[in-house]
Amino acid sequence: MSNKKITHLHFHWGMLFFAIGLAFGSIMSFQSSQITQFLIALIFAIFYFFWGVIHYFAVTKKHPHTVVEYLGLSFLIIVIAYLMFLSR
Amino acid sequence: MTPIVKFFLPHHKNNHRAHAVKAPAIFSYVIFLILLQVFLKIFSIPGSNVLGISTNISTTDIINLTNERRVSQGIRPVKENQLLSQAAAAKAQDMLNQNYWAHFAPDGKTPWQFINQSGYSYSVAGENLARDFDNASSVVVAWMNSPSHKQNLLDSSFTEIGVAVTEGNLNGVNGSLVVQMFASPANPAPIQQVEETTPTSTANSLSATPSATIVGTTNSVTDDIGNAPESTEAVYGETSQVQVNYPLNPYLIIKTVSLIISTLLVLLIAIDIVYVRRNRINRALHHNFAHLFVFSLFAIAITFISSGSIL
Repeated sequence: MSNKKITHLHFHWGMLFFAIGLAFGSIMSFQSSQITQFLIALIFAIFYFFWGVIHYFAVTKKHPHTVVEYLGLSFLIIVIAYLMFLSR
Repeated sequence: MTPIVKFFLPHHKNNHRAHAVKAPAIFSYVIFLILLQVFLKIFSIPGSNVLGISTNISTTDIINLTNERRVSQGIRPVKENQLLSQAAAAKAQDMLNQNYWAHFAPDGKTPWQFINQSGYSYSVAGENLARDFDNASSVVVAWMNSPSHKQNLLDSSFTEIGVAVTEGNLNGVNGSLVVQMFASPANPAPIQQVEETTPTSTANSLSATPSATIVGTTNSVTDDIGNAPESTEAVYGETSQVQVNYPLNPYLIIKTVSLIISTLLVLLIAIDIVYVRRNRINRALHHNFAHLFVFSLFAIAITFISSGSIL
């Protein structure tokens, strides 16, 4: 994959990521229902993991550490959101 | 280089990447959080004195904060009415007794029935509910963030208020319960005012039988009085303060620990970014800016999220 394509890929996914992030942040701040907050965090974490997978295939196919790192951080987000939901 | 420094700061001995932001450490945070939750579940027994957290919600604070918001918007403040407070207390107790979280009871009892039973005769009334908040300020802020609840708080047709704060087990969760009731006493002037100021009211104001209409959303009710209006004597009594003591507050602990982990990750990733730039290290791995963005956002969300819910 050429550098130009990678740049475009970064741009498009970055914009989508930014939009979802903003929605996530704003909704989490308001008094949405507890299950809604958890589901938003779950969707966001899954999206974040797949963003890492795409980076892996686009840039660093020889280094699966990237995917593991994204997986770990996504998992951490899901666990925190779930425990906060559970402990209410 | 001590192991602690090697854990938190990037260095050539840890391959220029702090161990604290590597995948094994991140998974260990997950395991730690799960173990913490298990620990809290085991020790969160009523009467346990492992930890102590107290929650203070004062009815006086709720009323004062409500009036502050009204005055700031140029709306006259509401006066506390003891009968409305009794109605609010009865509603709170009914929710605990019947184990429901709603404006309308499972047996069909409406919010204004509690007001009527307290002996308060009203021309217009509204109700706001909140549960599991830590302080009065958070409750009022949450109501103000919700358009329908804000409408009740800032409704100029309301002249009196009653607030009850209680604690108990609702749907298996121990916590605080706040019931706020607004009303205006039934007299000719408020009835005319209601007809002019609540265009969404569909009930016939001249009907012989009192009828109720939900205005806007389910948290506000109006009742047109067809019978001869009666004057209600307002009793301005003392307010009560409820202190809720929890041996453990799992939510606050999980929230605090999660916030610490997220903030720590943000700080360490930021340090890593600076380190990599200063030392001109070429990396194909580790998307620091993405992680920084995500966990900054997540830390902000954790900070502002509230355990309480309103209705």
